[in-house]
Amino acid sequence: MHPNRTDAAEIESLYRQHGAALLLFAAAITGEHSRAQDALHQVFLKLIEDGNLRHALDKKAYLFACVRNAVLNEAKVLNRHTPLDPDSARLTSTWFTPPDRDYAAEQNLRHALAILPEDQREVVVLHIWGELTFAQIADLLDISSNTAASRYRYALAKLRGTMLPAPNDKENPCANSRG
Amino acid sequence: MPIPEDERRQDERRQDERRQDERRKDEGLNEGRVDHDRIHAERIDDQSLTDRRISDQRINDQLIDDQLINDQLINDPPIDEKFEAHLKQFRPLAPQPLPVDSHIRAPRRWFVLVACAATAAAVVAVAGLAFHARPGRIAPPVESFAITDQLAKPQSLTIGTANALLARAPSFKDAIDGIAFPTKPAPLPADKHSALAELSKEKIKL
Repeated sequence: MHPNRTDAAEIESLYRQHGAALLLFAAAITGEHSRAQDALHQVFLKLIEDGNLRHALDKKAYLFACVRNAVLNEAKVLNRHTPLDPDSARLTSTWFTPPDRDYAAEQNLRHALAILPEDQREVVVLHIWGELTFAQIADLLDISSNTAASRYRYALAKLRGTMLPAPNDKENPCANSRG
Repeated sequence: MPIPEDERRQDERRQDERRQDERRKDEGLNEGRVDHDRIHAERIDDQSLTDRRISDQRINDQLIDDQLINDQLINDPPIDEKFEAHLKQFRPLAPQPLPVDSHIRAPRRWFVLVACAATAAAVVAVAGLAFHARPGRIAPPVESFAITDQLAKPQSLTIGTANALLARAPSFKDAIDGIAFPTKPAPLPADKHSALAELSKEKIKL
């Protein structure tokens, strides 16, 4: 079935609205920005080509699920489902636009995300940058909301520990990352 | 001190079980209210029902979120809101534009171009027909036409002059006669020579 113009326009609008978070989520799974970009395009082109989002009650969560499935399917096909390498994550292109153009902090954050366990990394990306609730994350990852919240707490603590190693630096959480 | 991964997972499982028990208890207590909600919902149409459910679900999700965030368990690390806000300052990079732009819009542009070209062609055709269909152009008054003057002019025959003759002649036969039997070929000035005459003078050895 070919979508009408309204469907295509709606899908393009969703791409503009959530594309950045979806791209980050895909990159957090694959570790490669280019693969993430490909997966994102693949999902949206497929939606425009033969699908529509009318059947999806929660469009945003549905898009995240689509991107996740696309990335995992691609990894399965290419037999490339390997854990994210922190060193390669350091080298690949940037994932964020950092505050105050602090690209050292951006690299630091990317490294901190890369060394998180995959399940925690997914939850933290979905909650902070995807702005999904724990209930939505729970549906998406097929876990309970409590597990999602618990993983989020652990992930946040680990990120903080990696990005701010100095134990006495409690006043300014951004001091080290901006240095 | 870091908590081992196995211990963390066991802790998660225990917490899940405890919360599921509590939820079952709550569902039992609220059974009457659920029935009332169901009867009320049957009176409204499907679309508004779906919208309401989504909206309720979102509100409910947000409440659960807040509760989950506040309901810190024994082994869970606390949430550093300041650090959370700091992380939110990092904005994810925007993706490349969808390659769908050319994919979807190209046929539309093509269609528009074809439509414009067809319209322009139609306008030109209609204008041409109207121009040629004017009665004054087919049969101008004989008094105003001086075909002999035209033919007497020392100029070679071109498509333009032939068209002009056809347009001005009182009849097609007169025009053809005028073109076929010119009075004299146009004489060249004394200092100029015809290219054909010059070429004919050349002796080509084969």
